[in-house]
Amino acid sequence: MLQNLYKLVLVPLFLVIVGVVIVIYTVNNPTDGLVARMLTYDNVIRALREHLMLMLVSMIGAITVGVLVGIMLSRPSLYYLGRGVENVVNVGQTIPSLAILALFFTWLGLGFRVAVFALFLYSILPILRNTFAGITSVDDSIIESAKGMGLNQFRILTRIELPLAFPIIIAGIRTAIVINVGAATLATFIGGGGFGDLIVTGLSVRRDMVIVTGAGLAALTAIILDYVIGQIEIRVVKWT
Amino acid sequence: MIMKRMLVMFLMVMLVAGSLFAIGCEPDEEVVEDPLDPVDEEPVDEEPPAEVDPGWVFATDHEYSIRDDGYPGLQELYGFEFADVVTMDLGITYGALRDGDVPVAMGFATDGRIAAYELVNLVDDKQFHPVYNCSPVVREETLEMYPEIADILNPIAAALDADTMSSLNMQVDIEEYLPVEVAEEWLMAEGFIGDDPADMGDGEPVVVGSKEFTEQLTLGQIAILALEYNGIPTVDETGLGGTVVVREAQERGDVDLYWEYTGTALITHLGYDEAITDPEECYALVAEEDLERYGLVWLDYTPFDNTYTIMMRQADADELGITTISDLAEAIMSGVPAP
Repeated sequence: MLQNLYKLVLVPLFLVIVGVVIVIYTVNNPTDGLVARMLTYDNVIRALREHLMLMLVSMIGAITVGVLVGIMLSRPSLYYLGRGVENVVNVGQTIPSLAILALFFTWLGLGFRVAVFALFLYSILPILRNTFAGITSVDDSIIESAKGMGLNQFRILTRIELPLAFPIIIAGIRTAIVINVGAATLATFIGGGGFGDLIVTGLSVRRDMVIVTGAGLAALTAIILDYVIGQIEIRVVKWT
Repeated sequence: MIMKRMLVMFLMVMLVAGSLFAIGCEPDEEVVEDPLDPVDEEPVDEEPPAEVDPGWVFATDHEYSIRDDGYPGLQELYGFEFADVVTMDLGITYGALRDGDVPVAMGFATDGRIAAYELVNLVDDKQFHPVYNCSPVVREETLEMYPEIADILNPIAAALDADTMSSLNMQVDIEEYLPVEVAEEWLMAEGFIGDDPADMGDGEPVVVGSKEFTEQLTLGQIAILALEYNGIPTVDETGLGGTVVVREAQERGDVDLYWEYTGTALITHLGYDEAITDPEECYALVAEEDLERYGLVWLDYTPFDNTYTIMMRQADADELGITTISDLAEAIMSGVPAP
């Protein structure tokens, strides 16, 4: 039990503390007036809040849509569609995230919502692909034997296919999160806020401390979320 | 097993506590406050000013949002504050303003889109914005190799006044000519280049850089065309990713020449945190320091001053009777709803 607690809570907590220490250090030891103005608790917290909002809203949407659509496409009746969609998704993934944001900017204007929408669409791709691939890769003989034991379609999905595909689906979600944290720093170019504000502002006035703080916090966010999802995965796999 | 985990936890806590202590974050004591016992809190405001309409959102690029000669200083001098500030990429503030995403935006005074999008520059009646005259900046070694660069570019810089630069920018941004076409046409019209180019020398080429926005691209092409016409081989590296990228390339010696603004060099490259509003004084200081510290020579500066400007849509400005930044400050602080 203590071991569980240690892994699930203490490691992320430690990473959070590292982030807090970085913030406290940089806020209290600015190298000059410009840095002091940029790195205030208000600004950092605002950037953190915007960044988390960008990520969480887009990720929750992407996980829901990605997993559901992935499951739908893997049904035998829609399977022929699935291959096509998979190809489209693979092509979509090669478009750079900055280009996605820029495209949606020209179409929908600027601001937080547009950035969330672009991130949402971009994050669906790896989740959808992995869900589809995970479910379709389940060995036919297993499904056959499940049918032979009298399980209906729904049971096969929930008892056989999803548990077996689970690690692959989670891998897709983790990929999406890491991509998402990186792409969210670009939201600042279309007025979406987030840690990108710190990074780009620091870059524009050449103050390394601001850049490193913004980039470091964004990286920490990615590491923490990825770690937590990884831990959840291990636990769920153990339970099933 | 458990002992081992406890030990690791303990070490982690010690590490964190130790780093906190080492950082010495205690000098700022303002946080210690007992919520139950509001210590001699003085009545702060006699009467709160009129509520600022939440629609007053200001679109700005990242650089302006933080520089002392940008929004923070503007706010302080004119005594107002927007309800919110949105930072975005430099080029899109004009479009955001035109499309009604924001009521007020910052831009650059010589940008061609201001006239084309029916925007208006608010008069900086307290003369807050510093000067951003532009000079070709050359590495010392390059200038030693081709001393004639100064004679070629100085008269060109002198001919670039505000109207000229705005019109060149407009031809690129609105009429959609290429920077190189605009540059060539202007140089021809002004007689800086003609039909009789000098023979191209076979010496080391001069690498000409620029930042990524229109004015810089055009200026870069002007320099390239003028140098080549006078027989100096060049390499076109215009359109690099922004001030810092070009500047660092030049400090490393990868770029030999690009056009830089005096105010930018002062604040961003030389690390001053107070701006200078006299063109000559700013130029003199920057030219001297840059030569001394980085071996970069500032040629003569242009009459045009591509300073920051605060813009509104012409129709809104007319309707609200706003022509100066002071007018804007008064409107915002007295609770006028945003257009």
